[in-house]
Amino acid sequence: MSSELSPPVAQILRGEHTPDPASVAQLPPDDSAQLAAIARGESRAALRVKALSCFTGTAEGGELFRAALEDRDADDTVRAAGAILLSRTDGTAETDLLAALPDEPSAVVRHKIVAGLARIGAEQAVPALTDMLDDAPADLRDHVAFARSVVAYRLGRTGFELPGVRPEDVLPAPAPPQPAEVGQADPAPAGTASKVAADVASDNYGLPLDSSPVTTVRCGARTYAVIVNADVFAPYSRLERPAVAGLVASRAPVDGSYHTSMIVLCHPDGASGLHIAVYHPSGPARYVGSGTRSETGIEFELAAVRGPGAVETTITGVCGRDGFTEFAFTTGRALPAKAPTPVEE
Amino acid sequence: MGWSAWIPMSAPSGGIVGHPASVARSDGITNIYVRGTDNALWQRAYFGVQWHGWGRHGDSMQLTSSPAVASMGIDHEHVFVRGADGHLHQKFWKAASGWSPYFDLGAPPGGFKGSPATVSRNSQVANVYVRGNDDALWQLPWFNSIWHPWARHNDGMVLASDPTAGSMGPNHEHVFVRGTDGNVHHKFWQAGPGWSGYFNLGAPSGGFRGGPSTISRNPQVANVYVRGNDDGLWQLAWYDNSWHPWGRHADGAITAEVALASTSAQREQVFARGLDTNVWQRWWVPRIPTIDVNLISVGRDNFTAANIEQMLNSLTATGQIYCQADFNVGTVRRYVISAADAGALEIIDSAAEAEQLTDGWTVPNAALDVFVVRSMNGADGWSAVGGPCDKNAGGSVMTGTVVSLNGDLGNSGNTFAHEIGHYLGLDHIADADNFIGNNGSSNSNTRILAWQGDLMKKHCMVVHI
Ligand SMILES: [Zn+2]
Repeated sequence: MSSELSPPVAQILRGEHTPDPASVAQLPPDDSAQLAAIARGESRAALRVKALSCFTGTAEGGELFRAALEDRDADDTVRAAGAILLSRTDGTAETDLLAALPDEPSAVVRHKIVAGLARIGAEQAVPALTDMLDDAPADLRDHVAFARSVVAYRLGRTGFELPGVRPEDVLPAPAPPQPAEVGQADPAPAGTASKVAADVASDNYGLPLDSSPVTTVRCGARTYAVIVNADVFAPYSRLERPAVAGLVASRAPVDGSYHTSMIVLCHPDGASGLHIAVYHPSGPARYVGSGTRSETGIEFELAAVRGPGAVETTITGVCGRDGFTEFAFTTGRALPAKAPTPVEE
Repeated sequence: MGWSAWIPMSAPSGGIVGHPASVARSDGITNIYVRGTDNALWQRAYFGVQWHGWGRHGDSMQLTSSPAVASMGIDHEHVFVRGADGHLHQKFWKAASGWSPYFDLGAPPGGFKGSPATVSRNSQVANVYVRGNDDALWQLPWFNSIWHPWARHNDGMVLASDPTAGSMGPNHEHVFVRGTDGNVHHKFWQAGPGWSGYFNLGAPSGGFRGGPSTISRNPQVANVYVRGNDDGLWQLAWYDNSWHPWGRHADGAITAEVALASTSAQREQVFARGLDTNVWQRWWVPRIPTIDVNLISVGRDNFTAANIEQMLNSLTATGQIYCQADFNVGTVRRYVISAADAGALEIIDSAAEAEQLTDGWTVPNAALDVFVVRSMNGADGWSAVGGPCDKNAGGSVMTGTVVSLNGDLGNSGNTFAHEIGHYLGLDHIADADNFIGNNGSSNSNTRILAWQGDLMKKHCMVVHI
């Protein structure tokens, strides 16, 4: 860290993992001003991005993130940070994101803006994303369409249902003699629900985190927290429209923090049927299947979707407003991942 | 193989003049002596399992040469310098009494050039060698508890450098010089037969600058080091009762003769002046386990030359941190993922995105996949803790580590070491100055504990030669 930084500022920029939100709030005014100056105009992008992250959840964050998003003279990593952090603040970030999107030159910043609009879920994003769909370059088009659907599902709007996965792209169920790993699902240990709620608060896709039940699922070395959307299951009539049925947050082994890793979207399929799919927040489908709706909950069965590194999986269960009454998770063979290209030296 | 990375040892303000001198008077204590730009003697000490800061000797001696140092026992060290009067001056340290004042040991009758060399082949004997103004080898011996007169070696050798001296046992001493032919020449003394004639040991291809340096870490091994005309470190080794060919150390540019020390029969330390005129260190132990790394640039289209440089330097910094615990980064292979293929994952904004990257991409070999993104939000890196060696285990654990170039080189160097450390099994610790310490807020720390190195070395991906 540069020598001109005050020791508390240097210290605060040193966090390796998720920053402690309290640390910025406790800074003396001069140091706080120095950190804000770095977040506002530091020429070294890599340092400015770090400083911006420190203002997550603070009152001055919104203005700093907005300035970063709009700074066309800055590195694309600065504008990406602005888009990501702005979409995780309360307020009216969708206006700023929508204003920045059409002229943003960087593909990855456009991705982060589109992901941010999906995260915020504001109604005005639907027509704006529709407008840009035709002009979007190929690599962005799927993401734009997915983001628009996420917003629509969240609002219970029909007309933007995501297409089903082709049958040949659904992986078969894990079968003997392939050794199968069976995931364990338990009600979350005491304190986990509030920890998960705090960690994914700015990445909640509209779920009422204080009332939504949390179940932990262990698979190998991974721990997932599955959050069921309490609003959607009560009343069950909400399931007659497209809905965000839940979230999956994965637990980072290095510090135990939880991060939204998948969104569960469902829409009606026939009189009492449901189409259910689980997506990464940036679009690719991970699991797909169906459910049957009754007055007490939905009974569902999901399978993995073909893709690099995808793993044959069967997930079955019964879910109600209090969470899962049944849950089983079995995995089998993994498909090969993609191989990065070697650099000739 | 067996060599650590070059580790920066800094320098007194302004760098150093000439070459360093070093000695290990016991298995836990090493001292480096240098001539500062203020012409004072400066010292940096390793004891209590760590290096301490540079300290200036508070005497008024103005050095006109690089220092020489040797030890006549575990509680003794002495330093020789040429003063402004052209004489050799000696001061010594004893555990009981601390530093002595300087003693004037005079000079050969015609004076001497350059810097002295010294060696103690046992606790009763010390010898100082210099290149006289007549370009002959001159010797000042200590035995029977007194210094004896300066003596000229009338062997016909015309020196073209300062001499260096070493010992392979209590009754053996040898001297290496550069001759006017640009080759290293060697002669040795044994109790009984006395001095041998000179043997021509040749030179690195391309020749070398200045004079040689030598050390014997045990009675079967001697090494001679020189600075090649290419500024690389070249080494000539004696073992199995013969001299082996000159070999070049692949990395590092040096700008003076090197200093050598050995804390045990199987450990050899080299101290060199770098291009920055600071002191750098590397060492040899028989086997340093390594972790091979696949360095994967995510969104390579947008990596600038500066990004690539920072990425490579960050991995070098990682090797430097690990080397302190006799562990190192091994073979590094580079890979890329295009920005189009990376899509939204070109910049990582959560541990979940980092997982998505390692789930979707794997280099099909046995090395550790280190995914490098230009920027990350909310963290500098994410990793499994004790990650798998089977990289097809995706879905149940992260099969690689994801690091960013956030911050400056000090930050990203730590990030790489910290996240690879997680993958190799390390958890955060509380120590405020540890590379994975401060409960995770360790960014830019470089300290590592021996047990952390031992734990990483047990990981199944680590290569033991
Ligand atoms: Zn960590």
